[in-house]
Amino acid sequence: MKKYTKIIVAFTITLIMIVCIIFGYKLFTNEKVPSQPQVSEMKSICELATLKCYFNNVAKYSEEDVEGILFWKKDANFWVEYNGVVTLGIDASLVDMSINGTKVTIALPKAKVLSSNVDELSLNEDSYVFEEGSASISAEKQREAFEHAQKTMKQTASSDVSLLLSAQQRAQILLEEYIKNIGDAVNIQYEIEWKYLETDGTPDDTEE
Amino acid sequence: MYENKEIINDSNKEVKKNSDKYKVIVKNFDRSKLSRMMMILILGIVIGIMLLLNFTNTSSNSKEILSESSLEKMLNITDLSTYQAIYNGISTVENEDGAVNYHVSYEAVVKAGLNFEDIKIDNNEEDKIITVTLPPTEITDINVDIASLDFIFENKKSHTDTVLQEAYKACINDVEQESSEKTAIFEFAQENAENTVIATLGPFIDQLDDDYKIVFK
Repeated sequence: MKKYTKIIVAFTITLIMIVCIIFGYKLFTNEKVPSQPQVSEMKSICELATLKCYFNNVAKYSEEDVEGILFWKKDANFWVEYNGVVTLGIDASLVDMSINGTKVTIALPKAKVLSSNVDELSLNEDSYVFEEGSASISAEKQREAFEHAQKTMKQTASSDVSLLLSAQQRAQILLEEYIKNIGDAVNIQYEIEWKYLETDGTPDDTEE
Repeated sequence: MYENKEIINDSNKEVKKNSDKYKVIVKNFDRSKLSRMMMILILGIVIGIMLLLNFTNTSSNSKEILSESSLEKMLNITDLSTYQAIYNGISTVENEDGAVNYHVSYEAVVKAGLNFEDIKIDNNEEDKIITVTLPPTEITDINVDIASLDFIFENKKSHTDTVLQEAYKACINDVEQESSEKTAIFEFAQENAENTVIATLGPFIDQLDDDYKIVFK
């Protein structure tokens, strides 16, 4: 009886070792198939989701009594056409995610103008259109016009709701595709809930 | 005779005793060694099967995800195929003699895009390079906002009742011509498309095999 007991004990120990090895191996080996959405990947996706937008704009400059004296004073009215690039997107550092079973909650800030740059080469003497009778423009005025163009381009892009919305939707669609593709790879249908934030990361009060 | 028989009997008992002892020793020896050998054999077989299954499973999963058809399917995101450029410009309208009648500023939106369904992917497993060939970018839509027109007249006589209609056509022609010549519109659309591809495929490729590279052609 003792001999059989020894055999049974040995067999049981062997079986336990096998089970431990199987689970231990699965736990510690580098699982190559993507298993769950990762916040770090989502932040990278948001950085790649930024939209570069070609921007051609017309800045309108008007100043009274630029030159002359008394009744012979002249106003300066002119337009200047220039172009540049505006980059729109969301601040990836504010993106966050939590997973509860198959429900993924993503905190996403609103899109904003991340940068704007005027192409200096686009500003030349052909860029200006003067109103008849307008005062001539000095180099100082032209520099002011350039600075004005910089501010105007950023302001125009920041107030373009459809442009900002397309940048926001772009990030959202790419994140949705990422989670959907992960789910397809591991046979899980994830459900996404969006929590919208302001551009500075504070909760969006207008959200219903 | 009896003495011989007794000696013989004693001798037989000794042999039998020795023989029994021998059998016991052999039995014990076989049982413990057999158990050990069986344990080692079972362990070896299980570990071998595990390693084989894990390797082939990972390998086949990776190959399936990195197949060209799977990657092209992942890129079927038509909502991200169009990009827009803001084109606020100035059009100059001249008379028949070439003298300037007026300048008109306008606000327009130019949309450029490419068809994601025409993207081709080539997976070179040996060099671990995924080559993505994007189709050419085209201008898909131009929209001039007629309410945004503003004028600077050089020829006051050109300020007629129909000037708005004439100016609107001039603005559309201007933006069509200018946008087709501005390579930056196409370059940015191409760059945005490439970033879309990397954002979609990159996370999977990195996790499966970070030696893989995405190259655009």
